Amino acid sequence: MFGNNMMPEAYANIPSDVSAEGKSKGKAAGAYKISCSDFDMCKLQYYDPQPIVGARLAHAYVPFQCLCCLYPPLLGLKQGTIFPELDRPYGADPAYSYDG
Amino acid sequence: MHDAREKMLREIQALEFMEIELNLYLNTHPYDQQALMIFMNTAQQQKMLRDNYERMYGPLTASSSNSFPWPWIESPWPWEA
Repeated sequence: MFGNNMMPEAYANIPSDVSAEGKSKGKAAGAYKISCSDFDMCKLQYYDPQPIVGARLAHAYVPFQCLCCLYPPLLGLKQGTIFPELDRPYGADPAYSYDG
Repeated sequence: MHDAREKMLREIQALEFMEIELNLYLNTHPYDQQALMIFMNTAQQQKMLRDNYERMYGPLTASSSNSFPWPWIESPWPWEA
């Protein structure tokens, strides 16, 4: 339903092939290592959930999170989340920040 | 505090945080086997590191103070850590 139109502007400058590459690598990265070998790529990627099928007007929807790749523990602690797709520091994207 | 001790404590904190994050994720994704594997792996790693730390530097919580004399008070205060 929303697709790329909801992509925050801060991430819009990333060439699509770069983020796509990061995404596919992220999925391939071994989960049991509890880290993602190229989490810098993960950090760049925006969350691009599947469109919500059959969405009805005047209802609010939250896209379902899927496990992609994870930050290594120490980086996770520093960023405040181990999920790269949720790592959106306040102020990084002026469009969504009051005083950003 | 020694660098090695601080580093180890930091790693324990990071693993504990990771465990909480995965805990929350699993609450909404109870059938995600991959996440469950990572959670168990993290919990195990955290426990191992914690046991190592306590063996080397003393208890991390009062409830793991199990030696005589009472060792808990010997560990650094939060603002010293």
